[in-house]
This record gives sequence, C-alpha cells and structure tokens, in this order.
Amino acid sequence: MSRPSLLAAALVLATGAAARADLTVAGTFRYVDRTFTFTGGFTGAEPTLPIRLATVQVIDDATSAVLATGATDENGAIALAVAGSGTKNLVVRCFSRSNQFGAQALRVTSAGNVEYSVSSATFAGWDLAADLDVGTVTAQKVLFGGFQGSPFNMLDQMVAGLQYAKSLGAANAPSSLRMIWPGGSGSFASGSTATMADDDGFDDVVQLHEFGHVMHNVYSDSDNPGGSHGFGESDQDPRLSFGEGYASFFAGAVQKFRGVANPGFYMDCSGTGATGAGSIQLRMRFEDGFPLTNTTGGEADEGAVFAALWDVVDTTATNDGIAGDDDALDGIPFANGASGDQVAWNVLVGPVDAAPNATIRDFWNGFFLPADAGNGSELKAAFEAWKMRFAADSTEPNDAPAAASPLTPAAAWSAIRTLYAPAAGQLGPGDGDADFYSFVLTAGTAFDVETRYPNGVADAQTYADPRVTLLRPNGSTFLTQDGGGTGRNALIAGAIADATGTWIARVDTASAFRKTGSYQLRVQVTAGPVAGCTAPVAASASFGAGKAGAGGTPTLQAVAAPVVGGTLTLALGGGPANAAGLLLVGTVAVDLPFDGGHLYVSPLALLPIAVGPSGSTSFGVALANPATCGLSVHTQLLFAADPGAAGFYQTSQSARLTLTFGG
Amino acid sequence: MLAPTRASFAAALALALLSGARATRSGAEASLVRGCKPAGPARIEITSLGFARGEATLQYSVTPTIAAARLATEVGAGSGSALLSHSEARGVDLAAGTTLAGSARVRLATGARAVEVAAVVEFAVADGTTEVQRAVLRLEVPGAAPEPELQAALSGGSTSLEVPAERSGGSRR
Repeated sequence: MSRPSLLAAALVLATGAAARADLTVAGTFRYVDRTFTFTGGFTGAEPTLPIRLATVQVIDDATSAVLATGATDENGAIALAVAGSGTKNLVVRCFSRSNQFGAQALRVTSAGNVEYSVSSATFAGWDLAADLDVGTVTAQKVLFGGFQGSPFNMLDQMVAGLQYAKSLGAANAPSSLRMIWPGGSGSFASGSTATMADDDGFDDVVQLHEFGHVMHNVYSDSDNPGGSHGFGESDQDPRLSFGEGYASFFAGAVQKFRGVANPGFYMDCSGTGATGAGSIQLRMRFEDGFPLTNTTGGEADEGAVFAALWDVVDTTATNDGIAGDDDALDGIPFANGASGDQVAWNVLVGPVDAAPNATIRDFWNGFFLPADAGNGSELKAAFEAWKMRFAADSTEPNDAPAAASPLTPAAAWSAIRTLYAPAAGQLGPGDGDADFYSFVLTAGTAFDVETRYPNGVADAQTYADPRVTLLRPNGSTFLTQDGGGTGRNALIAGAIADATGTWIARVDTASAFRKTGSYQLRVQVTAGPVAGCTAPVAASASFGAGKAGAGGTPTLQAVAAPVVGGTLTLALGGGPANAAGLLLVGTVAVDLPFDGGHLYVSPLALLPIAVGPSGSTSFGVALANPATCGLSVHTQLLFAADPGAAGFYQTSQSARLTLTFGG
Repeated sequence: MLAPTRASFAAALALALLSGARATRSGAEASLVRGCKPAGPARIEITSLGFARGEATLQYSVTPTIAAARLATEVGAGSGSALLSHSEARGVDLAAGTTLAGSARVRLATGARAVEVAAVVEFAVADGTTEVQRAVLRLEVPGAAPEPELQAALSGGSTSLEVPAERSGGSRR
C-alpha cells in the first residue's frame, strides 16, 4: 500500500471534528482523454489524465454517510483521513466538481444540474484500523446520443482556466462557475455558465473558448451582443469580435500556460468518435491565421483579435506550429517586468471592465491607460499586421482646416488613412481624430466625395464608420454625410460647388463604439463648370424697403446661393393669408412711385403666386446652363387688395431682389 | 448499493432528461447569451421541416461565409437511418454570401435523435493548398426517446450521474 505524501495529506478535509483519524484512504483518479492535433484532428490516442483538484468523498456504502471529504491533488491522488472504528463498506467517489478555489465551486453538470461522479469499487467490511488504497480509478468516456465526452475533461479545462487567471493575480471566482454537458446542438456561454454541445465533449479548445466567455463575464464585463459568427468574417459587430476573439485567445493562453505541446490554435472536431483529419470541422492557427490568413483582418474580425492578442503572449519558444515568432514582442518583458499574459489580464479586468461597448480598441487603449504597459511600438506592429491600425497615418497632423492635407480631385483613392491621432510622443490612446483634406473647386463644378474600406474590400476589414463634412472656402458647412456609401461609408454624390476656392473635407466618426478605424477617401469632379460662365453663382442684392400689409412686409429671397446649372429656389413670405399675389420678373430695374410705395421692376413676366395661411410659399426654377450666364434678374412681389395695406389698390410690396449670374 | 456501471449512469442520465431538465434555451435565457462557439464556414438555414411517419422532410439553404472553391451538403440521421432523397445544395467557385437551396427526405431509424445537415466547404489557402471545413446544423427529432440502453436502465438513480470506470491496483483483502 502506498503512503500518502505530506502534500497530499494537506489537502484533506476530514469530516467529524472530534473524531480521531484511524485510517487514511489513498488512491488515484484519472479520466480517459482524447488527443487531437492541429493537422490530424482526433488522433485516436486515448491516454488517461489525472482528475485534478476534484472533490472526493469517502462514503459508507451501507448508509450513504459521508465519512470524509477531500480533493484530488494535481496528480489525481487522494489521501483522506477517516475517523472511526470497526468495519464499514467503503466506497470513494470523485465528483465533477472542485472546491479548491475558495468558497465558490467549479462544477460540471448535466442540463438537469446533476454533477457527475466516478467511484472506486466498494470495499465491503473494511476494518477502519487499516489504511485503504482504492487503487487507480479511471473514468471512461461517456456516450450520449452518438457522441462522446467526459465531464472530468471539462472540469480540467475549468481548473486550468482558473489556475491561469490566479497565476496572474486573480482572486477566486465570486460565484460558482458551471459547465453543462450534454447541452444540445450548440455550445454557448451566459453569465457564469458555459453549455457545451453534445458534439463538443472532448473539444478542449471549444470548452476553453466558452470558459473564456465565462471568465470575461465574471472577472470583467462583456458587451458581446451574441449571435452567430465565424472565422474569415471581418465585418462583424466589433463588440462581438472582441468578445469572441478574447475567448479564443483565452483558450490558447490557457493551453500555453498548462504546457500542451501546441497551444496555438482553435479547433472544433466531430464528437462522434471519428478520428483523423476528417474529424476536423473548423480550425484556425493563431500565429498566422492559417487557413484564413488573407481574409482575416481588422477590428471587427474575431480572428484578427485573437491573432493579435496571441502575439502579446507568445514567444519564439512557443510551439504554435510556426518556427520562431512573427512579431517583435517575443516575450520581452513589459513595464515593471510584466509578462504579456499579465498585461493582457490586467487590461481585461481594468480598462475593458470599465469600458461601455468594449471592442478591441478598448483593449488597445488599456495598454496605455491608466498606465503605459510599455512595448508600444512592438504592440503597434503586431496589431497592424492584422490590419488593426491603431496608429497615426502619414498625413497627421491634419486635425484642423489650416492643417488640411492637400488632395487632388481624381478617380484614384487616397492611401489608407486612420481615424487615430495620439498626442505627440504617444502611441495611444488616439480616439477622436478628425482628418481634414483640402481641394480646389470652381463654383458650378459637380463633384462627389466618398470614403471606402481599405482597398475597397467587400468584407470591410475595418470597423470604421466614416462621416464626411464639406466646408466651403469661407468655412461654412456645405453638407455633412454619415452614410450613403458602401456599407458604413459616406458618399456625397452630385454636389455642385457654390463657391470658388479651397474646399475642405473633414472625415471623422459619430459612432459610439467604432471610434477609430481605417478608410480611403477621394474627391471626383463629375462635371466641370461650362466654359464662359466663369462665375455661375448668383450674387444677390436687395433694394428698397417695401410696403407693409396684413402679413407684414412681403419678403423675397433665394434659398441658398443659386448656381447656374442648378435650381433657384425662391422663398416668398409676408403676404396676407391665403392670398393671390404677383411676382414681377424682369431684366430692367426701375424705381417708380406706385400705390403709396414703389415699383422696382419693369416686368417681362408677371407670375401669379398663391400663398397659404401663413402668407408664404416657395418654388424652384431651373437655371439653364449656360443660358442663364451673364443675366441680372430683378424680382418683386406684390399683393393687391391686401386688407392691411394702404393705398388705392391696397398693395403690399416687397423690396427688389436682384440675382446676378456672372459670366 | 448497486455497483456503478454504465447502465446506472445511463439510468441517472435518462432520469435527468425525462425530468424535463433537458437544456433548452428559453427566450429569456437566450437573451442573456453573451458568446457562443465559432460556426463553420457556411450558414445553414432550414426553410421547411416536417417529421411524419418515421421520416423527416426538410428544405434548407446553405450560404458560404467565405469564398468557396467547392461546396457540398450532407444530410443524415445517424446509424440505421436512410437518406431517401436529396436534392443537394452544391456548387463550385462560389462567392461568399451566395445562397444555394436543397431538400432531403430521411427515413429515421428507431430512436434517431437528430437529423444533421452538414455543409462541406472547400476553399483555397494562401499557400496554394485547399482546406475543407464543415458547418453542421443539428435538428433534434421531436419526442425522441433516450437511447434504448438508457430506457432499459431506469431503475437506477443517484444524486450524481455515475460515469463508468475501470479500476486497477489498490488494497486487497
């Protein structure tokens, strides 16, 4: 009979405080595992592994009384002191539960919240004066609905995950953490519970992914909206991308922590017992994104998130399927000698916890605030490799009209720009960037302004949500557009410049959680001003004071600056309610006394006007190009029989409005 | 006490299942779900599904989420079931987001628990090779009973679900 080690004995929690320990019950609990590799799926090897830190009871099989409670050690071994005398029928039962992490348990249960157990043989009539070794008890695979699984394998993932977190300074979990199997057709996590699909009973990485969600929920705060998602999708909700990417990263980090041969990949295999490469349903390598390298990138791609975070923790010595390392971090210590794992955990439980609508951008910012973790340049390069461009672009600083970057209107797109501008000398954070671009237009020019995703890829590869604001040469706002283009991009199409000079396009974002990102911009002239009409924007002038009536003094004004080739909109007001008026239009201005007021236009046309209850109306007139060029048009509005107006004809009269189209 | 066996485990498991505790995500619970595992590289949607006279009849659509060099669809219901007909959704050189439709009729074996629709997606890898991955949608057969071995062992019962074990070594009387 083997004697328990002192270390194992320290794990003992004997029941019955006043009883003496008359025997020690020893033994080892193990479970059947299924081995898998990135290239081969389930290999067919089924080694046994220790059931670690699981709750164990010594039970009187005749009465079901619990004689002692303890736990397995890291090797699955037990050494429980049992008090008593005489003989009993002893059985030792190991549960899919761990009470070795404070007051809250880790539990693996059925959907009905029943824990699993595996038991020794029953040692009938055992003399309690003699120590008992129950030998090695190996939990076999559990078969359910054509699938295979092991609750003890799942418990081991939870134990490893919590040990990883505790190695980084985490406290014990504030609530019981639970994993359910078999859980039906899908694996998911909610709050402190992970549910594993019938099919995922031996998918360690999937189990750790779901447990990663649980840890994110319990130790930080996840804003993941949930929903179906997959690899190679780079236009996800960025909050989902972060939540899912972090969960997969967590799986890899735990695998690395526990020393598995190759920890650097996500894999989901068939749980039917199939083996070989054909058992692989889904896989992706953290280091290089294989097999979806080219379609992975951006802040809204869960694969890019876990690949970049993996670079934070892996080193040249990490056996992740790629020789060496593809990033400059390479295990170099961060500030204060912290490891990449430590920094990543600190960011999760600190800045990410505090952030509303957290995305990978909040994780990135956490590298710099509240304290700079160091290695900023290396982090920047690692994230940029996955198209998460948390860096100022080459046009910075261009954060004001006076610092605008010159842009030549053309069909070609700008280089890739970023909505990211950290303070001078800093690498982050850099939210709130607004990029200004300048370009010269002649009034009357028709033009488009638009943004697109980097390289125009359909699947975005950025989470950017650009907004464009156009400013006239005098600095006034011409138009703001937050959409209209492909996806979330901005498109201002068919605009006509109403001023000649240097225009400004301001690019920023109004999104609550797509606060940075990448884009390209272009300004295209689609129709230039017609030759000979060199000043197609009308100059506007008024003359005279008008004559009041029941609605006040009639008014006449152009809405916005009319442009040759565009539409002149005239707004008429100040008339009596529901009245009929006359609009005088001519090319010759006069100033003649009329009905106690003034006639200002020698009319070529008299346009009948009807106003509504408010005494106002408006209408539009197309300004032919170039026919309108060079004209000066004079207008005046009259209302006859206005009950509020003086004079024989009781006319109320507007001042004269003159529009001059240069040319 | 009965010796813990696979049968006793099965019995306890069956009791748990028959007690109505089977995991079904209610609307309220589903709304709390904050994460789930990544899906395979295709979305599978069932547009019509019926179970009658021991057969399952379904219509489905498959949409690859990445550019697919080849897409095939498999329908099955496990051992003993038979695929009676299958108008398979399949294609080559499909852009991401391309939706194909299919339909199938499956004779269900006694005790069949689920019908599975699997989209098998082959796609090009940057290194010039191809990769095959699968997206699987599992449709549980309404009213499916536990496996016969579970039903046969309902006499058990325990506060825990006993997992079958192999035992070696230890003390001998």
